[in-house]
Amino acid sequence: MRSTVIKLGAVLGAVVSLAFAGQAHAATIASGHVDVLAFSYDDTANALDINVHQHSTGATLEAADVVFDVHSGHLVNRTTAVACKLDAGQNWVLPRTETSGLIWAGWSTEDLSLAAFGGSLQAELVDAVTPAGGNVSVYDATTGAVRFHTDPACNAPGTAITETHHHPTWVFTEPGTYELTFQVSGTHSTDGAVTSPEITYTFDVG
Amino acid sequence: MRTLPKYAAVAAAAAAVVATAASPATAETSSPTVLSEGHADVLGVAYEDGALDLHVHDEENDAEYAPSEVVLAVNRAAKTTAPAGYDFLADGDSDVWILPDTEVEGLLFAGWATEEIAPGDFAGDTLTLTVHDAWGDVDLYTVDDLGDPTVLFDSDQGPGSFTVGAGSHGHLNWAFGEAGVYKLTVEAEGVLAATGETVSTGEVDYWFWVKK
Repeated sequence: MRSTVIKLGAVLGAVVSLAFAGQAHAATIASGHVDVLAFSYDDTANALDINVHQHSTGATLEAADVVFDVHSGHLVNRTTAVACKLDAGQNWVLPRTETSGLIWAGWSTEDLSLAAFGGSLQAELVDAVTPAGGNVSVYDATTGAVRFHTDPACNAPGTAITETHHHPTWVFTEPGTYELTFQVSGTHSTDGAVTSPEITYTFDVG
Repeated sequence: MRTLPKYAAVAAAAAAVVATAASPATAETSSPTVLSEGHADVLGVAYEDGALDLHVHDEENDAEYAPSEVVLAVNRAAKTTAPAGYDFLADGDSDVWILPDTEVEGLLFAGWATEEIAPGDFAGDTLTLTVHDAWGDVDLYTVDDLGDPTVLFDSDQGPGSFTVGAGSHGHLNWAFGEAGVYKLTVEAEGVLAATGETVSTGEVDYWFWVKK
């Protein structure tokens, strides 16, 4: 009995220290199918949320518990730049189609009814901490549309989310740590306007 | 559609297939299942009991079919305008029906799968998929991260082959020039790592129904 109490205390201590550490990430995702922005809605609380849904494990994770390891396998060297998409020289690219060994990063609204939000949510990139000179572009290669971009000149601070499930191309232009903060809002047909908390994601590039 | 006689043939076949699908009098073995939306591994390849096999795996309902048992529907929402620079899609007008390589609600999300092929069974852990022929104007292609297409099969250019890895899964774009019923003739083949022998599914017919 006594030993159980001690064990419980140890576990509680560990949990508390983890909570206080703040920066401790429980999971590293370096490859495979992952809905980076998995949007969900709790109609009881009238609350929108954004989580990470990893398909290989079926796990839904808090974004704060995940580091996306954008390793060297994602490196693409280019001789020319493509405005608001890729730099000349080095880029780290999460491709739009599933590629063995690389992260296949998308978003999904499968955990909510888009129709209840008039068919669309609005996701904003509200803050971005990037390495010096580093930018992030999230775009659709098939239409050319830039969905998110960290450079205000590219005029893509946010995008309407109309897809049930979607995989754009993600590009990081410099190595280093990126912290991208997203927020989603919508107008629910019965519960009215609703906005998620600001959710920060960490990408370790290079 | 390239020629009027071919169009007439497609229209007649469309009527025949739709009539078969709709007729309650036909035996259940001849009533095809229509797959019209959601994730389907259309070109599913398996190697069992010494034979290579092509089948359709409906991921939405976790059901497996022989290609002859299904009609793959291309819903009207797939109708779009050929993107600029995609000259291989040209068929005389800009209308085209495209099942895209990304999941779009209400459309079939059609891909290939070799997840049932064990590593080491085939030389190089690769297989070759060949589309030998298609009724009418059909193009199969992938699109890279700059929007540039790679054409895998163009019915105007004859048979088209592409290599896929064993134990893998992928998606492609399926473009059809006109509404109607299409038959695609597909073959999967590979070289057995142990013996060097080439094994093949032979030519397998797939049926697509492109809705007007």
